[in-house]
Amino acid sequence: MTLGEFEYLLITAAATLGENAYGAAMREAIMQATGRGCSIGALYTTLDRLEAKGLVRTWMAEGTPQRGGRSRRMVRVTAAGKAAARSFYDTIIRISDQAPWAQQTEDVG
Amino acid sequence: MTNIGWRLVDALALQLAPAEREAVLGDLIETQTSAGRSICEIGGLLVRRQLHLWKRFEPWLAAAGLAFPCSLMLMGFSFAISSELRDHFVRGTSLNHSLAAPAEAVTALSQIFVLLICSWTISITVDSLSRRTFVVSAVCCFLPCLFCLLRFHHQSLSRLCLFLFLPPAIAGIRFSRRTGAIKRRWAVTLAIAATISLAVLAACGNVWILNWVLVGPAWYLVVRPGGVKPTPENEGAIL
Repeated sequence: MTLGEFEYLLITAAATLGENAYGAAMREAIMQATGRGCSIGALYTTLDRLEAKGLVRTWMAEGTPQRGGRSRRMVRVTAAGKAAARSFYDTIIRISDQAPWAQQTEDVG
Repeated sequence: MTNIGWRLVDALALQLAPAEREAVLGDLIETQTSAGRSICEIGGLLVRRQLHLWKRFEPWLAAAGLAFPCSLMLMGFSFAISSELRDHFVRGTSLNHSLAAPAEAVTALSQIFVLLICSWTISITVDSLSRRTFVVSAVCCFLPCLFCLLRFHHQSLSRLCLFLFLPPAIAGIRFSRRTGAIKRRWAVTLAIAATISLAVLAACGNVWILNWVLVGPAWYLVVRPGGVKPTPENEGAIL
């Protein structure tokens, strides 16, 4: 299953956050990693699409005081989601192998 | 400003499904987003949700295929019935005249049946096809109404006579929201009654061929009675 860039970012953020993966936390992780904004609309509509594809599973969990007691939409990456993300990652690594910027990154490192 | 802003946020959030509303408002509170920014975020989500709905054919069918053309045709029936009623009652024509001219009485009754049944069944069908885009369907219904309202000038008829189809249509929507499903036996009865009434009008030469579209929703309710109940995708948050 092919992924788009933002779908990959969401799955990776959810997998990284593990048990703490929910809307606000994933949004924060994506904004920190990319350095650009992530709208709630993009986040939740993409989550719906990923769930429809069977790549993530979501459910509602109890809220916390810092959320005013409002529920959280928790996210867990499914096995199919992990496979799709792995495939996307491998493709990026393969296609980037000889790219000038990849070489420059290695030089800097 | 802050209070007004957060009231606007709450009002906008009401358009979301309850579970999603909780999650989104919780996220906004947790990240201490300002009221103005929250309005933009929720507005963006609502726009995306609406656009997503329009990728399916049902909203297009409900708004452009049914609400818009059928409101025009039903306004025609409303005008015809109003004219008949004026001739029979306002001008003082007695019941004896109707008995003397049964063809006219049958035509008038057929028009009334078509208007009542078709308005009711069309509104149920539009509501059940795409409840979350019902506002757009309603606008598609009211735009031709407004156009005709502004242009209609008749010395002996009120402009409101164009809208005789609205009460049964509103009753249909209320039925759809409260009951949801119609029994097949009733659906068949209504569809046959509407078809016979329209056939009578056609035999009298009072029907434009496209008027046959009006009985389509009545037969839709027969063929697919389960379709009257909104599916989760069609179900709206508060509409």
